[in-house]
Amino acid sequence: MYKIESKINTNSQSFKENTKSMEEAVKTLKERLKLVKKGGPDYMHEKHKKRGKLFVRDRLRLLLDPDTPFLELSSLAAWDMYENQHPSAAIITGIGVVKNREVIVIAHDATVKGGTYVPETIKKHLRAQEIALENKLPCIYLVDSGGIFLPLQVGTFPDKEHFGRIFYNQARMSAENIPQISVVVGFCTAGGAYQPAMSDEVVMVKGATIYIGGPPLVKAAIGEVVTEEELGGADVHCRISGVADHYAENDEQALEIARNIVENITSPQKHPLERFQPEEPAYDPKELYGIIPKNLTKSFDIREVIARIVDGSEFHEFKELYGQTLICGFARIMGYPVGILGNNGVLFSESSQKGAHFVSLCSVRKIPLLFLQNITGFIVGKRYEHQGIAKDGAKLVHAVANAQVPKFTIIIGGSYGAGNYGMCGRAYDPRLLWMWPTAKICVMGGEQAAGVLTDVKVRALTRQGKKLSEEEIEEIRRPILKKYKNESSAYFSTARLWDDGIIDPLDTRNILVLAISMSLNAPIPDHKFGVFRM
Amino acid sequence: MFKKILIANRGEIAIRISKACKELGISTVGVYSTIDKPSLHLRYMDDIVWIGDSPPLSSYLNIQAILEAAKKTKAEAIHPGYGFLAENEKFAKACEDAGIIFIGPDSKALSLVGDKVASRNTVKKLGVPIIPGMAMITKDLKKFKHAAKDVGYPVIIKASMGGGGKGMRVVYNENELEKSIAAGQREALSAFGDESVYLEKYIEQPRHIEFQVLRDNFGNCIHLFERECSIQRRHQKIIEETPSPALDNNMRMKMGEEAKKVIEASDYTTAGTVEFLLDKNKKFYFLEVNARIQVEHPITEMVTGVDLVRQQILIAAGEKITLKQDQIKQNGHAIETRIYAEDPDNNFVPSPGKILFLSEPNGPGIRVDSGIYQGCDIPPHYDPILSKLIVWSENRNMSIIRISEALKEYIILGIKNNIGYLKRIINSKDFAKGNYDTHFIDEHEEKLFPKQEKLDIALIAGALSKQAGYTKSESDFQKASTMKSTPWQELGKWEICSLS
Amino acid sequence: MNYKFNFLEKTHKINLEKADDLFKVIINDKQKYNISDVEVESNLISFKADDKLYNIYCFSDKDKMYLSIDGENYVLELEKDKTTKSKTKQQKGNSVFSPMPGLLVKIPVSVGDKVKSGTTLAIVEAMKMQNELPSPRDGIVKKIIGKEGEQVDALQVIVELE
Repeated sequence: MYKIESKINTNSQSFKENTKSMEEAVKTLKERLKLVKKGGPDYMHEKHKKRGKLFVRDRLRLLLDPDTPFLELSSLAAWDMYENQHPSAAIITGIGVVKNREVIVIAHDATVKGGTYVPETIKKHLRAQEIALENKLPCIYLVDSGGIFLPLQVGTFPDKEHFGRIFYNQARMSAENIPQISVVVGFCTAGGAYQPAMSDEVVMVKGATIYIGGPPLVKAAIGEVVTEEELGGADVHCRISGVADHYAENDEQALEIARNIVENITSPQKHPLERFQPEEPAYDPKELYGIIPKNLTKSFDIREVIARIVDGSEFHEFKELYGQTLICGFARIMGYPVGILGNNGVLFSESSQKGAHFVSLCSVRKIPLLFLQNITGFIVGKRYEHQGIAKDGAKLVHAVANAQVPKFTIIIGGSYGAGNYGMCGRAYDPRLLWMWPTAKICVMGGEQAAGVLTDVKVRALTRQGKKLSEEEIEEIRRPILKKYKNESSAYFSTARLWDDGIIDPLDTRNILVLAISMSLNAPIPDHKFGVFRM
Repeated sequence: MFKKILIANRGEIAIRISKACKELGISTVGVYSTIDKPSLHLRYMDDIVWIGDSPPLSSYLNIQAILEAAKKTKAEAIHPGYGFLAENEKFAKACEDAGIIFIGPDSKALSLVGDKVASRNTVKKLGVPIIPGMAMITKDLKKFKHAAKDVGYPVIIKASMGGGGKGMRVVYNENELEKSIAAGQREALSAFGDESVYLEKYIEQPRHIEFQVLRDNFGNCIHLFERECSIQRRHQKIIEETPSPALDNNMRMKMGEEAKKVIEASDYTTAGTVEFLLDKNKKFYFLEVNARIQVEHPITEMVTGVDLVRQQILIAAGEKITLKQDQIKQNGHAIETRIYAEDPDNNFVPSPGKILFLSEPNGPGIRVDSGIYQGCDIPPHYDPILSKLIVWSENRNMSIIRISEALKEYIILGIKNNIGYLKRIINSKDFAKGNYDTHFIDEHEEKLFPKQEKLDIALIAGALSKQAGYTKSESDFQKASTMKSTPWQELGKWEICSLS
Repeated sequence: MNYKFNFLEKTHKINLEKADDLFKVIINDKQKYNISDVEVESNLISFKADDKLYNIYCFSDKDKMYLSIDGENYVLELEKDKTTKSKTKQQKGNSVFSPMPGLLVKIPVSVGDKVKSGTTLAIVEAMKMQNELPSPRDGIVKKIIGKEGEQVDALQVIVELE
């Protein structure tokens, strides 16, 4: 393979400015992550500790193999929502290894509002289950939750993708031979009681409880007076009811048992994707900071990014001279082969067709796809509509939607409009989707949206006979611009689970290699496409 | 006897000292800088304390932090090893004030011995021959010029506080003098924290011969014969041997007695070394006293059978030396080579990095004092000494053969090192004849350059290895299994944003 | 099998051919050796070269091989054909054009300027993006056709190189 030749001048003013800007963005990201990783307020930690309970992150440490990575998902869920009272939406999800086996972990943080579910908690829980299902990863639930956060029952209880879906997923996954393991380390009340009950194997810690209705409810309903332990303690469920299978003296033992359970699950044959000896990129990945422009309306060569992500900076480019606004090619990430699609401008008919061609190529060859998004959209204008940009764009969207190889998306710059779809946005089921901290995601750019919306309003008012001054128009424009600016930030996206998390660009390689490795737990089916509009 | 000793050093010497302590039933405290957390010397200690960031000034030269570590661990004594604070009067004083025994001379004796100018004056009074030079510390350039003229060029600039070549500059004429003094001062300041330098007559074609002396608090004093340390690169010894091929028995006894005189006059206790220069007419001059355990001490141990570090500790603990001078005999011959992480073919520039593969020699008469392990990183912050290979045999010729074979067996891969270079020196004709002086390396530069005689063999080995690797993966049915580990194992502990 | 190793900035070619129990080796198309009794362990390679026995310690780190033979260290670097694209394809056209219709915002070069491959020759704003149009190769600016502030059409040439 050829090595990409970098043309970046690391001494240039703009490189330095970009670096500074990205460093600040990463610093902010780290500060925010640090904050949410603390979980709930100190007094809740105290209370938790007094009950002999480990903090959820310590539980994870004991559950996962020592000195192995933990690929945490959506740490900043519910960020800047509900007055930031629900850090990480009270649930930690992620991919790790237990006894050398890749697993999904879904763990409540009882120090955050008793581990209760707000809408984002549910989304995060369901997303983790979705990843488990797509990649056939065993699920380990560390249950310590009071159930639904009652003030927000409207967004959590009855709909298809609400609380009930969790148990539906458990049943479906169990049927697909995806192990469901619950470790009940705390409360597990009402609907939550189904979480262990729906699992294949359940560990329960002394002092934890599982019941459909708690003592006050029991008293009110049937007049029975009973303690929590008598009602649904570990002794009850391990000796009498059979709801739990393994009795543990404490959290530590429970996690040890959970590890033993995983040890006894037969491992599937992973898809044998050929892996070479990994090689560091020839160019320093730290230079990614200086490549992403401070101002995202400036273009940059996506090959410079590829050169700092892939092994040896080697890239076998496909159709280099055709449809040059979409860069396609083969490379390796820590030894694994990938097909990369990266934007170098708006999508034209040629670039869309090239992308569709390349995606089908990788699908046939069963090579995972990596999308590096920095896209403002498909080209507009009479000439291009006549040329059939709509049907050519559709070809790309069709190919991406039907590609059954593992797909991964990193939004490194802008992600606007239908470009998001063509480049494997959230709706196109990438196995994982991450954002760099300065990335933007929105139906269209703030300036354009403000332009369109202001125009609509001004025209409506003109029809009513009102003439607006420049200042009055600006008055209308400004709040729209502000709203769009806020809503297009990576933090707004990640809070709402539009992605799987915001990452330091330097983490990209590590994330991708772990992601590819975990995706190989599911077989890659033969390619199958529908009708391409020609 | 002490119960606990803090070892204020790193690398092989810290390990050497710890072993001596253990043999005496003393428990040890190791200290480390940030970058040294995974270093080998800590694995030999009973307790370890972090003393500061990686630069020496923050850690191994940080008197405050080391004393605090000693207090915290209730160490009764501190062994400074060599280099760093080994001859630092302020450190010795600080130990005394803190009620901790400094294993070395007291601060008063150190101030005299460490101060090269003052010690010259003392020695001169004893009638021991000294190299003509300045008798006082000054910063006055005029006085330097005057002194240089007095003794005659070439002259050499030396750091008052130092040893080991740091701060030294040879000056051949007056034009170079000012620049050399300034450079010497700078280097002295950074190495010893004191910029004072002095000058003296530069002896041409000199041999560096030093005498090991032990003296206790009761005035018992013995010498353990000489070490010849003339093979030096950039004023630092790299090969030492004993007995010296340049001395006969008469001279040996005479110089030994002079060395004892110097030590006694300085009221200096524990192990010390008196260094002499021997000129081509076998005339010797007192050079300086080193008030510490020397890097090259093992060769003396090999031929005399006396454990010098053990003696140091015993003396510091207030014990009497029970050995008598006439009991000390030179038995056989010993050579030491210092193994450095450096590039001998490129001006000896240090070559820090990771040791990918290590195999140390062993066998009869072979001793390796080592501070490294396979997989360790050699930090760039410190002296790049990795280990010392010492051999003993019945006579000089047999020692040379033995060390030459041992060097062949000494495999360090991954970083540049001087093993091949040392072997070339050992195998040179002039070394075999014992015909060498401190300029040996400069004069033999051409001859010592690697000849790459075995390049063809290396290329064949490379090709065979690649060929084997290739067939192996070919024959594997699943090529995917060429990588046996998973990325999860390879990455180790990691999470998002944990880098940089 | 042919291998190329770099040693002290020189390339050495080794041809290795299996012939029954032996390997026949030719180095740099000149020196010939018969290699027998080959044993390759992870860190130790033993063989006889023309009946002389060698035991060589080695460590492979990616493309680098560290070897120790009789106390002397050798570092060989396996040469791969890893040329960059520009080396194989120096010339790539003489003109710079906008890939799409848009507003020509800036031309940061003048006629006669020496430019390097990758130097921005023009900036065209279209579809919310400022597209920097890089020089396809090293060269000298011969002609500037576009004007700043002017609308350009797709494929319209903006700058020509000599």
